[in-house]
Amino acid sequence: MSLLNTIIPELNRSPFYQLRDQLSRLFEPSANRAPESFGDWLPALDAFEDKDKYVVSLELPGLKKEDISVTVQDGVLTVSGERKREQDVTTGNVHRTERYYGKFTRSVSLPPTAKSDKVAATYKDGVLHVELPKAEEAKPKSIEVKVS
Amino acid sequence: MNTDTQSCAKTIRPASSVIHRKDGVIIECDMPGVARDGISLTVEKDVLTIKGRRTNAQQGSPLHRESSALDYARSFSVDGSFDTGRIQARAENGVLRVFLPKAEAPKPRQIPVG
Repeated sequence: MSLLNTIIPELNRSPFYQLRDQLSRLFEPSANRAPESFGDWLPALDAFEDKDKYVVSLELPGLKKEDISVTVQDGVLTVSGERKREQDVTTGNVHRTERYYGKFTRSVSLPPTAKSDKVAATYKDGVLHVELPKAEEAKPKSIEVKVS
Repeated sequence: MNTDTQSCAKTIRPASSVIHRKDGVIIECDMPGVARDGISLTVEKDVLTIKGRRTNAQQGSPLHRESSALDYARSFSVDGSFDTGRIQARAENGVLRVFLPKAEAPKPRQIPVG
């Protein structure tokens, strides 16, 4: 494409060329991807809080429990795994597919009030729920300072 | 087989795969958040309709949301080459798998001459 640009430089200024460049940048692999997520697919992630816990849930249809990994390190919760194709999908004649397969990784920074040592995860109906209780000391406290 | 892209603002279409086999067709729909008893399958006038009601209740106030809160619905047109009376369906880990068996062709019959 650089050759074309040197031959017909005025094309660069055309709005169509600008659009083409923007589009190609959009579809460039990995370069513009958000740093907290990478992999073949990006499962939808939700986060909720109530008075005593945080809940992070991910839509992970068609996985097996043993193919999901949940880790907490340095205040960052990371969920990763792989969705494998079923045998029928690999051997049959797939007419069309819109579903994602392959590896995924998603990370979220945890608030300091989340007790990461008490993290618990459940996988049900294709949704992973990760629960983190809130620390008792998260409640605002007043500290008395003696003035001498 | 055609997929009927009925649009309805109150539902979302589940991501699906259509797999052709010798004995029929398999339709797989990703419906995370739907339990087995939240799924309904109906066949009416050569249209197979799949519906999935979400059972995962929202847990507290949302901080961040990417998933849809809407229920799932999708229709597939099924022609006469399938035996809709023998449809099988199975749900596991948020994936619904429907098997549409091909209708058996009428076998040639020998008529004895009396």
